[in-house]
Amino acid sequence: MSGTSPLAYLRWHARDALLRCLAPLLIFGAIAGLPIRSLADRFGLAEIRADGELQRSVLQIYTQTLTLSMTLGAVLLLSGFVAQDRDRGHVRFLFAAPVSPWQHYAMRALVSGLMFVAAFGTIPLLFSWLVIPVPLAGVLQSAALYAALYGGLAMLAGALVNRDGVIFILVVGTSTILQQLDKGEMLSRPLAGLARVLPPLVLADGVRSKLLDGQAPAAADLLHLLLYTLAMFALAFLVIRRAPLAR
Amino acid sequence: MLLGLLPPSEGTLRIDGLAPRAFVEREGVAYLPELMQLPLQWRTSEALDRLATLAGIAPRAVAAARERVIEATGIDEHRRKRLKQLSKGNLQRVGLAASLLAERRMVVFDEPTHGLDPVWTVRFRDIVNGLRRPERAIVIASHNLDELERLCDRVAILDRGRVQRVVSVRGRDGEDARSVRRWRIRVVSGAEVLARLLHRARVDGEHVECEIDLPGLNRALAEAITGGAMVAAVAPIESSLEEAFRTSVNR
Repeated sequence: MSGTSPLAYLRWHARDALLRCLAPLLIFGAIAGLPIRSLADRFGLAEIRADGELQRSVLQIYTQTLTLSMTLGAVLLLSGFVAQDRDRGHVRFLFAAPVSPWQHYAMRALVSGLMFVAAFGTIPLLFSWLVIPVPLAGVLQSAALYAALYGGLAMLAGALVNRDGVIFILVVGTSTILQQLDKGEMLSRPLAGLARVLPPLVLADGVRSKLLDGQAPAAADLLHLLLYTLAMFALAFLVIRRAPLAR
Repeated sequence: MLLGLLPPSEGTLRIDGLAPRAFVEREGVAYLPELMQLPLQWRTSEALDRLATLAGIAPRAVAAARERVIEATGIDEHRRKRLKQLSKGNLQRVGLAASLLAERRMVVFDEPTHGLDPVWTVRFRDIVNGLRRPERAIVIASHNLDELERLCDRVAILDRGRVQRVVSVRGRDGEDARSVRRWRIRVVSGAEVLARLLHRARVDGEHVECEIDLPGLNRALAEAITGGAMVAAVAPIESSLEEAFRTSVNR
């Protein structure tokens, strides 16, 4: 007798991920929809589509709202569920079945990440159709980058502690502030060292800006982000595999 | 610990030669705890479908497995309800249904009748008896000694985290027939006659209490009945398991 295939539960993972993936789209629509609609009502779509100051304003609203909803969506994507399953005792039911917990969560992360990228792909498609043509590839690449980096951090926090939300916010806040200060070389040596070992969120912001502008980011930056993300997922799965799941 | 989700504080635990988690990931365990804990927004049938999928039941067979356990546990009227809408007893029946989805070599019930009404407590016993197989281990953790006495072959008495004694419950009548036990006998008439035949008997209205072995009790009852006494009921004051528990934990 052998265990259940990790692929068997895909349908349910997709269903669980759906709401979390729709949330950033709703955030985007709620924030960007109203000002763009009011501009379109006042000046007309033809004026917005004509190259000029008005189009640049609309594109600025689009980019700012897209990055905000992407960051919020990535934060929501994988946060909570490992810790919740453990804290609320769900693990005892889910893992009385012949399944490996780390494979179960790895599949969930993969499905959630793919759905997140697909959901973000609809934003430029709809925006191009309804308002102004905007590129798709940069949004897909940025969404994949954020899903992986923030997802890895959320997964690791959930694997380590039950109050993962607190740790996640602390790490994101500390990383962002310290790394911005480090960029301006305003930190003492120990703090600069800390900024460099924390998740490279400011670097990810820079890479995302380049991707959204249609520029190629530096290969070294991409490699750094990729290795950091892989390390976080690997550590998270190791903890899930080795540490007691009912604690 | 049997699911491999918690390590033992000392010693080692093996199931069929494997570490618990390795065993569970290979074969799965039918598991029902005292409190059913699943995401409360799930609907009953959805929860069973999800758990059947995790149990390794083929997609084509999931619906049949779900219907089988819904029928066995009588939760048909609750199939579309969210788990948060269910009473504690019904939630426990959903847990029981989930534990019956797949055939497992190992079954773990932890305080399984907690929250069940008397009808379903009896039904639960029938279900457990239906699960008996030579190749299957059914482990029941319970504080309800009456329930354990009805269901189990052997009972390990734990106190302060250690096994104090293992009591063989089935077949105890033959083994323990000559051991002295305390009895309570309800006698409609002739209590004094019966009390004279028993050693150190105490009469309390219609009731006679005594300490005697089973053959001695039968002889005394036969003689009393022949002498005109009318016996309505005979029962041990405490079951052999209760007695074993009391002496084992020294309370």
